[in-house]
Parts: sequence; C-alpha cells; structure tokens
Amino acid sequence: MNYSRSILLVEDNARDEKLAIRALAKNQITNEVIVVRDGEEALDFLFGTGAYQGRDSKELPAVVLLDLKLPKLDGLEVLSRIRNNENTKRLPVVILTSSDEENDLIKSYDNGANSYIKKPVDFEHFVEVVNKLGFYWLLMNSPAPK
Amino acid sequence: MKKQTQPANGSSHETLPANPPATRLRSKFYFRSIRSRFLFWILLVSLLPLLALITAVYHDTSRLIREDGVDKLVAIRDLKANQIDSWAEANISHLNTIANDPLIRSFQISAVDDQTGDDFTESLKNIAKRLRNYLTAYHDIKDILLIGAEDARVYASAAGQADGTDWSEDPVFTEPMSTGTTSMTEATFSETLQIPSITLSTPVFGPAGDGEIIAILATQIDLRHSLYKLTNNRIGMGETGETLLVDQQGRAISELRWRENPKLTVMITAAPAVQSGHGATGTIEAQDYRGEMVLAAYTYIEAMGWGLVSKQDTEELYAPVTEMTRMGVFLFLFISMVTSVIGIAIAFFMSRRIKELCEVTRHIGSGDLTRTAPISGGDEITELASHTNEMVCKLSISRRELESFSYSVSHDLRAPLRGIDGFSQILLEDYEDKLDEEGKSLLREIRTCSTEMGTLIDALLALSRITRKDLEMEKVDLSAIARTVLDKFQKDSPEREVDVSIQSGLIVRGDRTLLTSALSNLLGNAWKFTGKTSQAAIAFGATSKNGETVFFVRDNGAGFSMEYASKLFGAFQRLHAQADFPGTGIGLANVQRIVTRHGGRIWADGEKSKGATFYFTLEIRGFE
Repeated sequence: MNYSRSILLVEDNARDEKLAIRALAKNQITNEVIVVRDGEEALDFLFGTGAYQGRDSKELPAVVLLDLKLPKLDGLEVLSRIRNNENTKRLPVVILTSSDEENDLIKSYDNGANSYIKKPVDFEHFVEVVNKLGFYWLLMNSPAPK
Repeated sequence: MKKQTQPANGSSHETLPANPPATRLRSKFYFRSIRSRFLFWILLVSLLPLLALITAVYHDTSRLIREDGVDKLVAIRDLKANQIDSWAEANISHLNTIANDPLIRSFQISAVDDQTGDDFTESLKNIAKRLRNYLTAYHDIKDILLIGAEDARVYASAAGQADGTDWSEDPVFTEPMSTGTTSMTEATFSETLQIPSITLSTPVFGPAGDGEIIAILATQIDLRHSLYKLTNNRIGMGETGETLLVDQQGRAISELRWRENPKLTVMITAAPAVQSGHGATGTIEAQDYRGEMVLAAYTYIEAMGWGLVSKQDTEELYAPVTEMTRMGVFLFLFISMVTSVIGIAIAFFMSRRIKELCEVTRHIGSGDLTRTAPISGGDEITELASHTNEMVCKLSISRRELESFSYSVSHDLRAPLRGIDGFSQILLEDYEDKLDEEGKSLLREIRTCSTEMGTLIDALLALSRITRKDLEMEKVDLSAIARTVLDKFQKDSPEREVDVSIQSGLIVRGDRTLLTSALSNLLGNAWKFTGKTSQAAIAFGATSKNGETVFFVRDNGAGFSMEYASKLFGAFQRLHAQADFPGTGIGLANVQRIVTRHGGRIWADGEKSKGATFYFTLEIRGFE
C-alpha cells in the first residue's frame, strides 16, 4: 500500500480524533488518515514493528500529526525516536496539542519538530487551522526525496 | 474625599501621598548596610570612652603642670625675697657695726673748731684708715663716708677723698639726722662709681651715751656684687625664667634677662611688676615687659620698698601640656585608625556571609531556584542558610507541582472543552433540520460558554506563567512602552477621543516582557474604564516619595469604590458587571505579581465614577 499521501494522526483521545477527522473532511482533505492511539503504536507503524510487523517501513506518510500527551511514550519521546531513526529522520512532524507551554514549544523544536500548532478550543477555528495545515503539508510542502 | 489604600503587599510604613514624619526621624540613624551600622557603633563605643579618657587625663595633667609651675615660682619668689631681706639686714648690720666702732664714735666734733690741729688730722686719718679696712671686709660696700653732724661736710671717705662736700640738703644726711635712725636711698646708678647702688646712712652717736648725734655714717652699696648675684641666679627657671626687682614707680632695679638696664632706667608697666611695686603679693598669668605671656609670682619686699617678680614664659612652662596635647591627638588618631581598621575588618567578616546569603536569596528571589546558600560552621547565619535552603527546596517542589498542575490544566482541561464546542457545532451542522430555533440557540450558548472557559483557562495559565518566568533584567523605557500601548489602543478604536499624557524618560531596570504586560494591563484598564467617559483622560508618570520612585497610571473613568479596594488585585475579582466592562478579572492580579516579582508594591486610589489611580514601585537598584 502506498502511504505517501496519507496522514498519520497520533491521538489517544477518540473525541479529538473524531473532531480532527471531521475538520479534515470539512476541508475536503480526502487523503487517507491513519490513526494510532499511543506513542508506541505510532513508532510500530513507522518502523514496521510490533502490530505493524511486515509493513514496508520505507513507505512513510506525508505528515505526522503528533499530540504531546500520549500514553506509554509521550510525544516528545516519539519525536526524538523518529529523528534518531535513519529512515524517518526527515519525516515532517507537526506537533498538534492543547498545550501552549513555553517549555513544550522549546522541547518540541529542540527535538526536531517541523511545526507546532495549538489546538484551539473553538471548533470553527480548529477547522480553519486544519485547513491551512492540510493545504501546506499536503500540497505546498515538498517532502524529502526517498 | 479620596481615600488611600494600603500598599498591596501589606507593608504599612508607607502610604501615598501621605508621608508620615516618623520615617524621616528614623532615617537619621538609618544605615543601608549592616556593615556601616556595625562600623558606626564600633567606632562610637570604642572612640567615645577613649576621647573621654584622653580629655580627663589631659585636663588633670595640665592642671597639675600649671600648679607645679605656680608652686615653683612661688617658692623661688619667697626664697629670693628672704635672701634679699637677709642681704638688706646684713648691709644695715654692717653699717651699724661701723657706726658703733669706738674709733668712729670718738670722732671729735670739737675738733672741728680746730681743723688745722694735728690731733684732728691724725684722728681723721685713723678714721679713714679704719673705714678702708671695713671696705675690704665688706665686699658689697664701695664707699663709706663720715659726714659731720654739725656742718654736713664729709670728714672721712673710705674710697675717695674727704673733699668737704656739703651734704646738708641730701636725704642721706637729713633723714638720719631728723629720725635718728638708719635710712636708705633709692637704687640709682652712681655716676661717680659707675655702678648701680643704694646708699645707707645712719647716725653716729657720741661716746657719752646721751644720744647726741656727732656724725652721719653712709655706706654706698654695690648692687651688682651680691644682690644681682641673687636675682641673676636662675637655677630652676629654665630658659626663660627670671627674677626682677622694681621700685614703687615700676623702675627696674635689677638686671633684666631680656633687656639692657645698665643705668636702672627701664620702666616696667607689666602687671606683675606694677602690682608687686604697689605692695601686693600673689601669682598671675599675664604679659611681661616684652609682651610675652608669663606665669609670675610677685611680692613686696618691705625692708627695701621693692617689688619682686619671679616669672617664667608660659610657653616653656606649659611645654609639657602642649607636648601632651600633641601626644593625645596623635594617640587618638592612631587608635581611631586602628579601631577603624579592626572595625572594618570585623564588620566585613561579620557581614560577608550575610551578604553572600543576601546575594543567594536575591537570585532565588528572582526565580533561580538552583541556587543554594553556603553552609559552614554552626551559628545563626548557618541556621538561616539552611532554613533558606529548606525553603528553596520546598519552593521548588511546589513550583514543580504548580508546573505539572499548569500542564494538566493546559492540556487536559482544554480537551473536553474542545469536545463540547466541536460536538455542539457538529450537532448544529448535522442536525440543523431537526432542531428548532430554541435548540439551536441553546447550542450556541453552550459554545459561547466553552469559549469563555477557554479564555479563562488561558488567563489563568498566563498568571501562573508570570510567577514561574525567570526575570531577564535589562533597561526598560516605561514611557516608550506606555506610548506604544496607547497608540495601539487608539489605532484599534479610532473613534475614541482620549487626552493622553505620558511623562517621558521613565527608565527602569526590569524584565521587558513582564513590565510591558503590566503596563498594557493598567493602561488597558484605564482605556477600558474611560470608554463611557466624555473628555476621557489617561496619564502615566512618576513621582518621588522618600527617595523612592512611584509610578502611576491615572484615569478619569468609571473608578471604583474604596470599599472594594482590597479586592482589586485578587484573581477573578471584578468590580464591574461583565455587560458594562468585559474582562476576566485576572489582569490586576497579573500586574500585582509582576510588580511583586520586581520587588515593588502596588496600590490604588479611586472614587466611583470619578476615576482611578494605580501606583506602583519597582525596586530599582540603580543601573549597575
């Protein structure tokens, strides 16, 4: 399967997932959305390990939307492992989180995040953010060559 | 009538604009550092008694020296007076010895009738010879004359010739003739003998014993010989002391130490001499005949009718006092210096650790909780240091707790809100046709509530962020910030007409981000609460009270009742209806935290419908 146009959404909260998918749909973003529930699962998917054993790890999504507060491995740890892996070190990762703590921003960028977006409480605002995000990372941005 | 609130951080010693006089009184003994206070008291406690001691010793010793001087001069005076008395007595007794000489008394007045007689001539020769013998026996006597009582002519002379001079007018002759006792002339310079002298004369009574005066015997006494030896003996009188004699007119009749007086013509008008010449006895500190200050002991020698003065220059006499004064001053300066050095050293060592501790707590105060106070020894300072460390430890624990709490709030509290908002919106969109207008309106209310709560969470987070942020101290131009902020407000609502006044050049040291936030908040309030005021006016400036700069933001807007002044700075406290003036009620709490973190205080002054003034201070440690 070709994942190159897909979005990897790392989100433990089902309601947030539902809202995110709704927001994508509202923006006519039809790219496949792969949802994983925690940091470990996200890494398994990307590295083709664990439950995703056998998946071609060369096939990477167009962008990873990564929450910071996750069960098992937190977002920063996941980000750091993605960057330390030869295969995924250039993968676009957008931090999509509730937190606007200065510390989180700094650590995210230190760990190699490509972008940091705070989820607004207002849904309409959120839809707009997702629209811009999809437009930028799926259409405008050129990914690193394989 | 406007009232004042207490400074918001509770320190009550200063309210504005009232200025309690107690502060001024206390500031006289106010030291900015422990070191200077310590030094002040060390010097006070050590130098005051020293000064007192030196003064007492000086006073006592100089009194003793003065008394010694007086005692010495009085002793010398009395000794000399006695000696002069003896000298006079001796001379009189010599005179009497000669006058009682049988050979002299055998002077035959009858022989006068036969002046050419050989017997008479022979007798006069014998008398003259006898007188010459006396001259060699008594060194003081320079000449002896025998004057005939009847014709007042000299019949015999020991040194010169019996030249037959007529003495009938001379007191040397007339005095003893009339009184029948010994008389004495004033001391004069004898032109014939070229010496200072006095002349004693006494009657010579005839051998019959009937009291008939047959002749007057006169001796001329050389003052230089033994009198001047007496007065010129200056043993014990140093380099400047002398003893002098004056007659009743104040004429010096002795040799003077400081002036030539060969012919006894020097008149002395100095107080000691004059008083002694007038018969007084005493001591005095006065100018002598040269104009020098002297200590003098004087008396009157009755036998001679002379005044005697024994004196010495005070400069020499009191030299030990001067020397002692010099020593005292030197000693005082030396001890002051040593005490100062020791005091500074002690103050330095005592306060060094406190200063270190101070430095550490200052860092801790500005947010650096990694600092720990040095622990050494076991005294109170160490205890204080360990308490400080304990507090810092607890503080960092609670800060970490606060951080994790904020993180949870930030992350977890927003997630359900997003859900509420998002699903309400979805409901509105997807089930639009199944909801009536009331249902849609309620859903919109739900969405408004969640947005509001989101705003409150953000405000709360901002508040906790101010508490945790490390201060980055730099020069901050508050005037410029105020101008920028107000310009922005004006731009955002160009329809408003506000009279803005900003005092320029208010530069402080502080954290730019936080101070900007505080000022935006205060000016924002001023802007907001003057929204319904015609002729709105907003002012930002500073005044100086007790050496402290007090900044203020003043408006003539809605104001507030002083009754609620204490609630102004509490989080989520609002004094106005949301409908009148919207807000989260967190702004002033933020401002207070920012001011407090800068070591300052904030308080307010206001009246309902008249306006409000917010005062704040920032601890300015200069621009070091």
